[in-house]
Amino acid sequence: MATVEIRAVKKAYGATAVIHGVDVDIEDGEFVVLVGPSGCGKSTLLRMIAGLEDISGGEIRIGEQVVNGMPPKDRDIAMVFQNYALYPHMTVAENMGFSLKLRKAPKAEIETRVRRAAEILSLDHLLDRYPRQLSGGQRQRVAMGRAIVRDPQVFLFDEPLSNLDAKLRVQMRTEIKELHQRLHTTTVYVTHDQIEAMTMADKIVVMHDGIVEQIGAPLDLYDRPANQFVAGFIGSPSMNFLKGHVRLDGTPRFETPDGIALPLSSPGGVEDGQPAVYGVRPEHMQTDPQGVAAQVLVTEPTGAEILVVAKVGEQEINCLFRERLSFAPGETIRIAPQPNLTHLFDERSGRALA
Amino acid sequence: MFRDKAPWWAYVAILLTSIGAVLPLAWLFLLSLDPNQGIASGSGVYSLKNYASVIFQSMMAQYFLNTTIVALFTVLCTLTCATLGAYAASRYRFPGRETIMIGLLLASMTPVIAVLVPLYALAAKLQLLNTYSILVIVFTAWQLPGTLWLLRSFMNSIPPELEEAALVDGCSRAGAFVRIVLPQLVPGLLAAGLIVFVYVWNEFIIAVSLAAKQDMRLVSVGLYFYLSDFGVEWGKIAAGAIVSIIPPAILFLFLQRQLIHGLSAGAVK
Repeated sequence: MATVEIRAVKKAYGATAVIHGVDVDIEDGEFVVLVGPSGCGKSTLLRMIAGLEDISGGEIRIGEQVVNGMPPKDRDIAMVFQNYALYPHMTVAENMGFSLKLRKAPKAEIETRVRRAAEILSLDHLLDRYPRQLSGGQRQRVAMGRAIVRDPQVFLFDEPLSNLDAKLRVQMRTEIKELHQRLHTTTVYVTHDQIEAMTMADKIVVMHDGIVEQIGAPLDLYDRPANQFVAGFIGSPSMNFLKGHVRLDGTPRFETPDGIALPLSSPGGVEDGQPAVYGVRPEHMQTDPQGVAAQVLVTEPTGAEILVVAKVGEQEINCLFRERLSFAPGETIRIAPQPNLTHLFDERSGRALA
Repeated sequence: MFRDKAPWWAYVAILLTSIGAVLPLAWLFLLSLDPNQGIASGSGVYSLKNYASVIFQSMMAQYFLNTTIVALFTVLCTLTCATLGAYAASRYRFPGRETIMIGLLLASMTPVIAVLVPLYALAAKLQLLNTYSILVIVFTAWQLPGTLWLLRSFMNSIPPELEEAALVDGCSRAGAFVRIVLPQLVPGLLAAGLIVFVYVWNEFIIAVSLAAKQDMRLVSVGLYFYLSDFGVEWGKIAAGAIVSIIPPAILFLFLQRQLIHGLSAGAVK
């Protein structure tokens, strides 16, 4: 196990810069998730930690050692790839023992460690099979087995669940989390799925266009997003954003261009009349006889909850209700955000204001 | 998908094509069994005399040895160069990569006859006429572009993540190539090797121009000289032709699955 320090790391392909100076500190034994939309540079950053991509600037340390120029095989890391990358001409046991064989470990030790890893991942009965004879979930497990057999300093996961169906993905998510709780190996995990990030991470790094937007614990990011991008990216369904102005005459409030007033949580640091973006999560909306009028456009009941898409003035808003409510399209309902659970962002920079 | 039962005319077409392919061979075989010296002697007498004479009383055994040596070395050289080239063309980005690949393809379309005279002059100057070396060099050069293209498409179908996983697992780049890429490439190598082998076995123009001395002849050249060495001995030519078909036929028989797999690589994910 080891810490990983990423200092002002940059990556450019010729004149095209894809990562513009990223700093991340990963504690020993921590489970860190790099999350962001496709093309944000998260996989590139992971591959730089692995040594599969050159580092154009800055420094990466694993433990005490700067690994910038070090080939992957000397970094003492293990990686799980999106398409599993199992060696097709080797059995499950050979796949898992390959790295130990390369290190010239004694045969008996390889066998013991492969067996132990196989037991942890319930692969004992599959050791003689070839990858093509396995299901997607089993292949995923073998890929993880190949990683844990070595007891490396750092685990790297590159979107390992994205090729699995929804049900299996949830199951494997739990298994990976369990595995981490058991082994406590420092883990860097890349995904574009914010639910994976929220459920698995000790710490989330939100990336966008080659920069880090925010680093923090999952609930921190959910409760206190640093900017509009993070606010919109974390949480599902994503946060509602309404355009308008701050009004500080009388009761502090947010006013949409249609003149609809919404309550402000803590209107410090803003000026009267300042243009801003008002953010409220769908699950923080509630029905309220004193609330603003909204016209129902679509309802999407899922059993546990109901998503209502409604129109407030000219702007659309999503509301997620836990109660069994039934609304007809076109019906006018009254809704209001729960107090103290709203956000305010600068209109131009997207920075959180209050 | 075309999974319906084939219509009757498809069977008729296949039958006619098969007859077209087999008929000359059958005729050749009958001819080879005719001990009399005539294409249509129709004597009704059959014996293996021609075969005995071709195998034991002619240079045919030497020609077989020559062809086998040249073919094996050509296969070895072509596959070695093409594998390394295909790896570079598949895995590395470098300026002019596609131009080089297209250029190779264009070069391979040059008719042999156009380069025959310069090749002869060059071989003479290097004092390589009537040697195995010149045949291996020229055949390798001739087969390299096609083989390179075939192996590159094969290499492209091997996910780069396999090598990356091997790098992380503890291999060097060369180690990953040998331990991970090459084993995946085996069907492609077999297919390419078979194509090159059969090419050398059938090649005539280059062989007759650069190595026509009697003890250096390849099988195809040897057969041709039957026409002139002893007058026209049809029975012996036929027997020699039938014998010369055997090695490639055996190879095909054993490797046909790999050949089909290798040639269709990358066609479907």
